[in-house]
Amino acid sequence: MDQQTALWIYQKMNEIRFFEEEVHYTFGKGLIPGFVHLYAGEEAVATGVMALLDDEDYITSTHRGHGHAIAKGCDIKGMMAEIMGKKDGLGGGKGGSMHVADVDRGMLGANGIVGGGFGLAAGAALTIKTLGKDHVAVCFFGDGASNEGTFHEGLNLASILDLPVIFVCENNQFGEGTPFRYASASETVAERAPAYNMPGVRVDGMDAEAVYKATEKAIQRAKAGEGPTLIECDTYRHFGHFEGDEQKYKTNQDPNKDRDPIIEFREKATKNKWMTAEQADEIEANAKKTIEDAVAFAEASPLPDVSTLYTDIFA
Amino acid sequence: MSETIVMPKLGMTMTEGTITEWYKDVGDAVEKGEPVLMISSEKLNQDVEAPNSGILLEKFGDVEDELKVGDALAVIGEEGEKPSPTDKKDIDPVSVEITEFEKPASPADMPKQQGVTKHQRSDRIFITPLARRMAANHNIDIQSVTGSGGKGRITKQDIERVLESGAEVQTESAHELATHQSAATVSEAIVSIGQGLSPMRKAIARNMRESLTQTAQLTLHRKATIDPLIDFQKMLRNELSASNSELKLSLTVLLARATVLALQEFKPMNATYQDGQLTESDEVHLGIATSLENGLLVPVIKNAHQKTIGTLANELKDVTERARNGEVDQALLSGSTFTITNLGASGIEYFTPILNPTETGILGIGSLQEELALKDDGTIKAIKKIPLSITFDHQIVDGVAAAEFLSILVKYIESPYLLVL
Amino acid sequence: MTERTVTFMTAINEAMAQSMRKDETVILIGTDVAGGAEVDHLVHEDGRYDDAFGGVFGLSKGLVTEFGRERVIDTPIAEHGYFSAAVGAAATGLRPIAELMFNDFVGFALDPILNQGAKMRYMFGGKAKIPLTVRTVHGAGAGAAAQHSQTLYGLFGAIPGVKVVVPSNPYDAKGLMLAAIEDDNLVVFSEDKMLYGVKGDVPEDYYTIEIGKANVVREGSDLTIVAIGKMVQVAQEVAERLNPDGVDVEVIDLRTIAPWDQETVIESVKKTGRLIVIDESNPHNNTATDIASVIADKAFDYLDGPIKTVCAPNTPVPFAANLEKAYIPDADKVLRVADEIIEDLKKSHVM
Repeated sequence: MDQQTALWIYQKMNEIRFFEEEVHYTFGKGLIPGFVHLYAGEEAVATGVMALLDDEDYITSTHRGHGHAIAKGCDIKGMMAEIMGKKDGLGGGKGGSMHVADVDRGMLGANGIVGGGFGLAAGAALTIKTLGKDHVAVCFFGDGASNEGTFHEGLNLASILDLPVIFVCENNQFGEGTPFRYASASETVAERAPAYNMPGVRVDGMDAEAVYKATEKAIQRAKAGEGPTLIECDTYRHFGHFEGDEQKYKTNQDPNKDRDPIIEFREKATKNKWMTAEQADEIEANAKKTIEDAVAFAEASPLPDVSTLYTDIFA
Repeated sequence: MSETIVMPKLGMTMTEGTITEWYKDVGDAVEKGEPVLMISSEKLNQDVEAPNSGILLEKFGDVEDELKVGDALAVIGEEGEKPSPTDKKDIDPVSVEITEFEKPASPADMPKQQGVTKHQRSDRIFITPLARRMAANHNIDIQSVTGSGGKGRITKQDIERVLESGAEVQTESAHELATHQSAATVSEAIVSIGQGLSPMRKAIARNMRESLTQTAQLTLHRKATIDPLIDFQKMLRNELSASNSELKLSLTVLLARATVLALQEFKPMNATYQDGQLTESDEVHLGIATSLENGLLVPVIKNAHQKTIGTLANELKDVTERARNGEVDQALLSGSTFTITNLGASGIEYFTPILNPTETGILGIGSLQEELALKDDGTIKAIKKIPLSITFDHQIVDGVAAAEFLSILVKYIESPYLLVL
Repeated sequence: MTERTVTFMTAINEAMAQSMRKDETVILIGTDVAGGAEVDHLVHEDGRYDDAFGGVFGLSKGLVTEFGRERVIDTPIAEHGYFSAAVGAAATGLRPIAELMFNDFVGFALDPILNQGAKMRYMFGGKAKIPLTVRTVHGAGAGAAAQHSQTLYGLFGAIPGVKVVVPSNPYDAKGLMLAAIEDDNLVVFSEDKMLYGVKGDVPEDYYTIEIGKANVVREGSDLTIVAIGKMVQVAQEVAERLNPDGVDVEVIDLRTIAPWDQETVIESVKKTGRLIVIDESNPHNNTATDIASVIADKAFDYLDGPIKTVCAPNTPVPFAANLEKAYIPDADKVLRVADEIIEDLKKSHVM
């Protein structure tokens, strides 16, 4: 991994972490409507994948989508404003946390429907393939979504059409309040991939480098026209399913419970000389500042004009 | 500046009138107040006078044309003046001279709606289905109703107001019973009935049809011995001729007097029922069915209960003559609470008169009958009897009650001195 | 009957518990209806379970402890799969309550309802019954945005063979839930999430409320307002606000939207002549438009004004708090829309 990539990954990891901690805090103050699902703890997955993508590559996200959006390059101020339901939000305040999106950045949206992204990503990949572009689509999904029928339909379809799509499972151990080990008949998600004639790899989702490497391979395969890959990232969420979740289903024995991908990456990056401690400190400070600015921006942004209730229904 | 003459509204429920005769032609000079044409509405004929002096510039309609109230009839202006194209349309129906019985259907304190939704013939009338049904049931002409609902729609409220305004007239001035409740006024809203007939026959047709559809009619018959009344009549006539009075005292007058007293004694028969409201009246306004050459009118003797036999006789003569001479107005034909119809001169014994709408009773008088009667001492003598037929609305009055009324009437006929007490 | 005040959620929970005690074929199935499956520390020494969620709103809390995981069944997030299973189980002798966490997820659960459960009896010549209760959640107001806030009971109500119940208060919620479970047909029981915390008198005893019968919650003579679920509160507020003007409003809580109680609504409209229907659904092809259509036909001659439907706008549910507030029908909106048909009533009382 080159230095530049490492610095970028560390920056995005920190931005995600500070962002989510800020949302956690702000939600607690009652400044955010509805409910939010926080990504903290899973930063290695979004950053490890997105380090290899640019704006022309597409991703589909999940209800736990803030991390994907930040890593994909969405404007952080616009994200914070969107989550607070403000006029300057990415969606004009009309989508909210579960629907953060920025198509110009190739971010096809967080999604309130579990399992909603499989077909969408396949469709984006179909566009890439049909138009002959040298890009890929990535479908992020949770272990919970792996039990939806759409998982099977999406994987099978992408495989028979050899679509340039990568299915990235963030297995954080729980689908809402139900352990994956209960909800899935197969021990892993990755092992289902061969049934659809595609590689299924399982990586340490707390290790950004491992995610990065697996993704690199999958992109090569996709761009070579060999079809999709399934990458299962073993990870953990620091917060509950949603804010306010008592998390009674968590145990001290949960794998990855006491790991922090950001601390681990800082250690690894400084050890491998990808990044100095000073650089890391500076990145952390800058990321904190970025988020503080975003909060100030979002708080200052007005509510959307009521007339916008009726706009953007049809093209 | 030209002025438009419109079809006037005569009485509350008039919706259309027929042009009977044009006195003037286009180009003729007319003086203010001079009759321009005659119109007829059911039983009434009326001259329409020129509102200003000038030249008759235009006529809208020929003899026998039917026009809606408020429709333009003619334009009067200065010589050479062209009737402006708006003359015909821009008529404010509110300015039409109305009879004393006219009450605006809409409350006066609704300036916003005033004059907005009175309708020309071509206008679409916006009315709710319920209001339309109510108006039809009560024979209310929706053209004359002002809509107060959303977008000027006529609603139930507006129809109720029309009905209430009728009831108010009755309470405020009972001597002028609301015209639309009177038998003389007909319900124009039953549009199809009487089509093709003369205005008078049309009115009779509607009146009779309305009577039979709105009431449950039943007729009771009974004879009264009339010899005492004839004796009484003779005695009074002798008295009158002795005092050189020209008063002619007919048996009909005495029977009318007997009826008035019976009605005062038995008020359920002196009542009107309309729009769910039953009104028993203390005053007796007596309708006298009067046959004409080609129809029938019912002029009304107002406050008959206050009249002596003498005044009653004069008034009876007066109203029937006016009816026969066509000198009638709405006041003469409206407000009766009970009606008498006499077919005695035609040799009829009993018959079943049809109620004069909104009244609950009508008395039919037949021709005198000679009969043999068994006296107390076993001998036989010839007496005269008069057949009486009382038709009543069984919705309001039952058979026993109607029989009671007849008994009271018979009492007055057979004990005529009661007539002057 | 002893009366207590409990929340809307507790009333539904109690109904499910009572029916499960009464009938061992009643099961509850859905995603996280208990939660925490195979989490050791949630298992008591005597083998009983605690739940981690008890439904995502905590509505079914405690049921797994009393009835066990055999009857309170957590499923993978696989709506199509477990709804199909619920229909299959209902057709073969169980009486399932299947929970669709948000009605918005019906996209993944629709076929078992639309093409299987609703049609089997008909297609099989009456040789099957589907005693399935589908519990689901609708309604905006929680800031849950476009995919968790819709009001879709009308969509279910459009399917022949499906009954749809929408309770407006805790008492009705319990009685209608018990009736839904007892019913031998597929009944969708749609709960407004904004009512969950509402408290009301609910008898402890087992009781049912007839499905298909509306409830006249306020009698009046001038104007009929038919309202559904949460909107009954709005209708009541409108009635109160029109009261000083002398406008006497009759409020009908529809309770069941399919088949809805035509008789009660028609009788009311015959009396008042004016009808407003408040339905939080989007404004077209919904329950309100259906009611308007039927009344315009069957009570035409009694109408004293146009029928007004007050619904959400024809937009997705927005996220921003002010937009969402503008989206949900409220008393102000009803009064605005109704003004055309009641302005004359107000005038008549001024005079």
